[in-house]
Amino acid sequence: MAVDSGHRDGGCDWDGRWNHVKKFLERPGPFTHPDFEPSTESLHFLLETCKILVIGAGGLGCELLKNLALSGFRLIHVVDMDTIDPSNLNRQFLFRPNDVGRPKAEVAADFINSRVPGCKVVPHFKKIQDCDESFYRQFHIIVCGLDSIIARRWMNGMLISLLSYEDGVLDPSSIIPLIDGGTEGFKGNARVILPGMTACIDCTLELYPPQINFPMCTIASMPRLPEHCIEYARILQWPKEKPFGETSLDGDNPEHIQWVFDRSKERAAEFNITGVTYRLTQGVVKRIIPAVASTNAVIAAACATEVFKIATSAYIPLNNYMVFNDVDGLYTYTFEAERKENCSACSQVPQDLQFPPSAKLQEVLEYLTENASLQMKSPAITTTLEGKNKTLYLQSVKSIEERTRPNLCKTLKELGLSDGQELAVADITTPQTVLFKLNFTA
Amino acid sequence: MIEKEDPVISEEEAAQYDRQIRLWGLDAQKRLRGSRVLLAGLGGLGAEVAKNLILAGVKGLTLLDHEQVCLTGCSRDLMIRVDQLCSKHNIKVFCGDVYGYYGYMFCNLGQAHNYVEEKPKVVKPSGESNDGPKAKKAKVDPNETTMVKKTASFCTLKEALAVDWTSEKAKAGLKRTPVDYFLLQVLLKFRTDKGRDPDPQSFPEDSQLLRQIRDDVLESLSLNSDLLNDDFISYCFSEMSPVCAVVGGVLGQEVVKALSQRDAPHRNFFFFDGRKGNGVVDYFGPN
Repeated sequence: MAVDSGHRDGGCDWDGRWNHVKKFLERPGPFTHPDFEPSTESLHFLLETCKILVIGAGGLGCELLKNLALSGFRLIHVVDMDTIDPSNLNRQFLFRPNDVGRPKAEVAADFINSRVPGCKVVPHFKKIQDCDESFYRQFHIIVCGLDSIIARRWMNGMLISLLSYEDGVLDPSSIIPLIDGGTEGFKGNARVILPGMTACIDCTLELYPPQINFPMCTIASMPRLPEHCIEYARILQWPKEKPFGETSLDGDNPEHIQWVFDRSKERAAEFNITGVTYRLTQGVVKRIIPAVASTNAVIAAACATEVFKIATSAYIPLNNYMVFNDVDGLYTYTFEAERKENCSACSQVPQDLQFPPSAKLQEVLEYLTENASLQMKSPAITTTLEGKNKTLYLQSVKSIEERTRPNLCKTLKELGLSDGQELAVADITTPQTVLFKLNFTA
Repeated sequence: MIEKEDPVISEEEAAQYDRQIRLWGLDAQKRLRGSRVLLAGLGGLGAEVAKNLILAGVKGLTLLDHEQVCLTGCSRDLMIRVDQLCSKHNIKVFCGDVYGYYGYMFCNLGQAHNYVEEKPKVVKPSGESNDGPKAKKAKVDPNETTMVKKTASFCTLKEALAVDWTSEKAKAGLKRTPVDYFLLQVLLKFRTDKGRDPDPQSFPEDSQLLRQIRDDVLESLSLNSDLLNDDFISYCFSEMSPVCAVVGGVLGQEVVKALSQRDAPHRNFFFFDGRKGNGVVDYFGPN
């Protein structure tokens, strides 16, 4: 991978500044990597050359930037597409009340740069999808503090796409380690991914708990919880009654929330359900995840430690998935997540699609979205027919969706597909298209 | 200590703490909002704990660190600055240290420290008795006591350490002056110059330096260098724990006395010589 040459630090290191880091790198110890040799080179690498990308400047991102900057990492880039909200201030401590509305990446970078002399954080106020291969290729290590599984999968896919194989053998210099952290309330996890070598995000997709979506029958006829009443108002009553005309429900609009809240209270009263509050209404509508500084501190610290270990090769990295839970007492567990032989993201094994020729395209689409190992969001399917590229179905562009919608009801045979046909599937969960091989069953 | 009244959470705070209120509820957040925490120790761990507590929304966080925060530590200058700052705000100041077998304690309780002393009641003799001279003596009743109000005034550390010894009066009083006071000046200067206390690991160099500083300090005070002989040099390294116990005990009790405003405070230095087993209280400052 191509990396920037280092720059001079400008002489801002006072006597003893990096003593705490030197203790790890310039002397032997009982926990070092078996191949470790104490030297002054590692610290020099950290300070002058090592380039780290931090994804997300929120709960985990602020902690990560603090930890990395104070550990000697100076060439740091941070990407975040969000702006600062008052509810961030209970844990995203690089931000102050008068930063509300400003881009998180920029405020975070400013804070660290002023607070830690010599540290140069470069902010990027954009989505990860807006950066290309050449951007990601410049980093030695990438550490994520994301708040969505889709984004994680995309990042995972991007790094896998950077891998290069020569005669089927993976070139180690094309591997960019990915350290991924995630938190929710009092729970969190941290994992080390070496794309192409260890389990990737998609290898362990089933580990993620399903999103809470209440069954429609419960919401419609048998509510028991205040949440059911709120979902009733949100999913059924709002589209029916259109209280604010054609406007869709906006979780940040207090008037909208108030309306949902009032309707929810009425429904709750009908069924003798207690607990509907304005706060709960907001939480359900906006799908708010509770968050606190301490969990983020723990998980970010675990991640930053792994960045340090990998950057210096001085210690054996986490192998490879740590969970943390302090809901009741404190629980933590580390295990080695295994690669999936036929992982759709990293196995390079062509994905199999087994369908009878009489199956409708709709069924293929449902498989792609509902299968636990694939969990695609809105796949676009294309193929090559008679030497020409043909879009079978694509949802994200209205005109193309309308044009290809009739294909959903056609059978695979009717669409002209044959046994062994390759289908290229694109989706927001991956930066590269996934190739599937159609296998006709009887 | 948690305040008795229910703290009010403003709308701004409800927005700021929303994500954690969803975790532990509004009542818990209110209790946090009314509590004051003392955090002792400000190393790496202390810094992180401070951050997490403040983000959680406690009412007050008091920071306490017994360790030397800067290289020169509780240097003479730092102590003088803290003492001056506290005096301005009517905060009582106590200083103390142990150097080998020698220890000291200093206090500044302000310009008018009021306290009470419990004294036995004095029964005045009636004037008419004809029993003779004995009867005229005031009798002390051991069973009854009374609280007597008193006031003591204290000077600042700066003033205490800057006593002028050149005047005739001062020179005359030298004989009755504990030599420990000058030893303290030497050790404080060592700390200022070296940024640390005498270290057994550098015994030869530090001894040399102590001797030199002794000469310099006494000269600067216009005093004879044989006022403080070389003896002390071998005995002021490290901290002898029994000496710490003694000085610590006295200092602790002085704090209790000052806070409770009961019983006469030591005014204003207490010196302890562990070699002789001598403790002495004396006042140093402007007269």
